[in-house]
Parts: sequence; C-alpha cells; structure tokens
Amino acid sequence: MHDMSGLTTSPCHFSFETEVVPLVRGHLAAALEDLPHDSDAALEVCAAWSALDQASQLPTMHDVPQPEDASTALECARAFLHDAMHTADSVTRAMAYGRAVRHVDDALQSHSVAAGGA
Amino acid sequence: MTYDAHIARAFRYAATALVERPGDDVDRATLGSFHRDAAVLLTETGGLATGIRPNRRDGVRVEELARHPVRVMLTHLNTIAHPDSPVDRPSPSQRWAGRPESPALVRDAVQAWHGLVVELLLARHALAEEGRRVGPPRAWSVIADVATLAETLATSMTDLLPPEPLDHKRLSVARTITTSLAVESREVARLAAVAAGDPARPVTTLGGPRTTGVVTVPRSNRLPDAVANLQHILTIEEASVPDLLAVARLLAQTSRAAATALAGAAPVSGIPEHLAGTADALARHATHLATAVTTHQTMLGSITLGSPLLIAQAREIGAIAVPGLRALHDRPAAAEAASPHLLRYAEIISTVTDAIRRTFADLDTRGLVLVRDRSDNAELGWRRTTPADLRDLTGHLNDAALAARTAPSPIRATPTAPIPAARVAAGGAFIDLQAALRRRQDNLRPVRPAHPMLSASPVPQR
Repeated sequence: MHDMSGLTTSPCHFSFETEVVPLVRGHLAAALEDLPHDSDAALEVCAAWSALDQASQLPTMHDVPQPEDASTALECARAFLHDAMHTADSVTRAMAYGRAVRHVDDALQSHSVAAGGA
Repeated sequence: MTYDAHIARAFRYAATALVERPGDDVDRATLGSFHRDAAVLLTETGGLATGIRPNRRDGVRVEELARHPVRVMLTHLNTIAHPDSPVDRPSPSQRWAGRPESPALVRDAVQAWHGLVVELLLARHALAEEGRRVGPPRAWSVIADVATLAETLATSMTDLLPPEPLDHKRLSVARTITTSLAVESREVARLAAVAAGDPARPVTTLGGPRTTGVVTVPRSNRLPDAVANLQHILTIEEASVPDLLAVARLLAQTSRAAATALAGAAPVSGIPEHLAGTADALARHATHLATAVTTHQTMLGSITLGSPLLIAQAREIGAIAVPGLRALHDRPAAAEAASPHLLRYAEIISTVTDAIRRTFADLDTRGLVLVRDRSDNAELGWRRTTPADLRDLTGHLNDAALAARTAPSPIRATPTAPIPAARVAAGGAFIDLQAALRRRQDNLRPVRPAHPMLSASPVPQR
C-alpha cells in the first residue's frame, strides 16, 4: 500500500494508466467513508467502482488522505478518470472510464441534492 | 490513416461524449444535427460492411429483429438520420470547420459529437477506400463498432430529452426511439461477439442447460422477468464477488426507484394502502441492500472469472429499467399504470435477494472470497476470509429479504374494471420488440451480418 496525496501526484512520474485506477479507487473509497452508507450517492460510487473492474483481477487501491468531504474525493476521482480516458491503451478501457465518470457525476449530483435537502 | 485508426479515435470521442452530458445551455439544434449525422454515417458504415442499405422510407419493423437483427438496427439508425420533418443539414466543409483537434481538448457535448462525426466520416471513407470485399470476420468487427457507437448515440439522445416535457406524446415517441435503439444495438453487439454458427445465447460456464439469454427491459412490464433471470443465471453460472456486489447494488437502486414510483402512484390508485405498503417494504429492502454493498465494495474481491451473462443482464436493467422507473416519480398516472409489474417485482425480489446471499455464502465456503487486509500479515494486501468477515454482509442481505417479505400479500382477484396498465402492457411496438428479441436469442449467428439468422426452429417468413 502506498500513502500518496491525490492532489500532489504528478502523472509524469508513473505509468499513468497503470497507476490511475488504484488512485481513482482510493478516492472512491475515501468518498464512501464520508457518504451515508444507504445513500444514492454511495451506490453510484459503487457503480463507478464496478465499471473499473476487470475479470479475474483483484482491485488494487492506493490509500489517499481523507478529504474534507466526499465531493472533494469525487472531484479528484473524476479528474483522474477524465485524463485516463484520453491515455487509455485500448478504446474498451476508454469507454469503461467514460462510464465510470458518468457514475461519479451522478454521485456528485445525488450528494449535492441530498446536501441541499438536509 | 486506416479505418481502424479513425474508428479508434471515434471511440475516444464517444467516451468523451458519454462524459460531456448536455447542460441546460446546450445548443440543442446543433447537437441534434450531429446526432443525425452520426446516424447517417453509422448507417453508411454498416452498409459498406454488409451491403445493407436501408431505404429512407423503410419503417423499423422490430418483429424482424429475430431474422435480420443487423438490418433492423441499421434501419432504425436510418430513421433517426432522416426524421419526418425536413432539417437543415450543413455542408461537409461546414462540418469540417471548427472540429476539435483531439478528444482531450473537448469541453462540451457539442464538441465531442463534432469530433465523433468527423472521425466517423473519415472511418467510413477509409473503409470504402479499402477497395476490397469486406470478409465475414471483418464485417462482424465493423458491425460491432457500429453497434457500440449506436448505443452511445442512444445514450446521448436520451440525455438530450427534456426533463419536463411540454409535449408528452412527442417525448414518449422520442423515448421509444432511443430505448429501442439501445436495446437493438446491445443485441447486435452481443451477437457480433459470438462466433459464426454459434447460438446467440452463451453456453453456460457450468456446462448445464443453456441460459435464457439476456431479458431486455424496454418497459417496466419486463422488469420481473429480467430480475427473475438474474436468479436463474445465478443457478447455472459461477458469479464472482464483484458480480454479486454489482447485482446487489443494482437491485438496491431498482427497489428504491420502484418504491418512489409506487408511493407516487398510491394517491391515484384504487388500492392506495397496498401500493404504499409495498413502497415502504421496497424502500427498506433498498436501504439494507445499499448498506450491504457500500460497506463491503472496497473490501472484497475474488480471482474467479465471473459471469459475463449476469453482468449483461444487470447492465440491461441498470441502463433501461432504473432510469425508466425514476422517470415515473412525478408522473402518478404512468406510475399507476406500471404498478402491477412493480408489485410483481416486489413479490419475487426477496427470493432473488436470498439467492445472492446463498451465492456469497457458497463462494465463501469454497474459499473464493478474498478480503482486503492492510496489516503486515497479508503480504499482497489480501487474505482468505474468517467466519466473521461476511457476517455483516449476509446479515444485511437477510434483513433486506425480510424487509421485502413485509410487503402486503399479492392481490390475485381478477379486477372488475380494466386496469390501464394491462392495456399498456398488451400493446405497442415494445411487445413486438420483446417477442422478436426472444426469437433472435434462439437463433444461430449467420456467417455474414447481412444474412438472415440461422434458425434452429424456423421462423416463418413474412
């Protein structure tokens, strides 16, 4: 396990596509820590996590510092996924990253609506 | 550049188009124009690969999906490309101007579709320039590309539908078009992925009876069958831990959306207490399932292959059924029409939830569940489960099933007055589509996409 900040890690220092999914998972896990377990937003975070799954592979994850709130973690995950979409080795993976971003966007919207209603 | 290079760039624009959803300030006319251009180019690219060139006046005959799935998809694309009302179409040079230089530089939906259309144009030209007859494997490969991009087109067209329509009839027609295209394109993509002469249904990994394929859910009346099919697939295929978590998450979302729809329908229904009680049971079912998934998603894993069919069925429910149910939340009459199917869903969901819990327990017993472990004891960050690891998970799943069982008993009496939902379910193009899909999944894949399906049980020619 590596302890690294999602906000300070430079894509130039590692193989981006190899490292980006564990980093995204780290941010998604951080968001799940902060979100109510039974919320729509948490379910969408799980959907984003599933979109990154690859058969027969254990999901690797980098630990990231716990953010101030779930939105920050989700924004970080979105930014990494968005960049990964353009650097993915295969178009299949690029489409998977695109679908994951849609789930992250849905999570952000659900979180925002829930926060507004609270 | 070759067709492959251009279509790969088109896919990157497509991924961007999935992400860049149209906002309130989007130029709808321009984006709609790009959608139609994409439909034209996908039709033409499919035509180059197959020789199928739908006539502008051809209507979509979904009942032909069983015999000519590729033709039906291309005809549907052609219908989208040429709407009834005339549209201003920019010249190719206007299309070329202002295109994004790279998918990475795209900033909105219009730019994403602009780039996608230009790359599709180049891909179609490159395919035409190959100057040789497209062989069967190549034809199926191109058709797989067309089908995947057609599904992206359906998704983007759905994104463009107004949230609060002024004209319900037109919106209903638009929803029908996008939903049908999404269903058809996924079917063709699945067909393209199997080998020539093979059945369109996958052979099960456990060597047992063939599956029922994927049950599509163009309308809520198919939701109970699709969910029951999840349970059926669990009995004949070996799901992995991520598969089970994905299905449980999806059912939580489905139950929550169904609960909201039923609660909205209750005041206008003749059985308000029944609908409200079922809504309450489904809401609690969703809460327990959601807690089970979200507290374990990051902690569990497995190295088994899993069941692509289970995921395909779950994706079908997630892509069509859940958004459809959510769209009912502020339409009480439509929700009431769908309520018989949602009550049937509530009736069976506890047994499906039990099946998920049993499958988790079975995988655990066989040592196929791994738990993330941050301690030094787990060298690779993962270890086998202990008896306590899955206790919470199975407890929440059990609670979810119990909550679903608190729904009021089903009403079996024949209603004395006609139920609007019965009429909705009994008619319409979707019924033809469903019947055609079921027949198509019984058939074998032909050698070439343009050929009719090889039928194990002959379908009468029209």
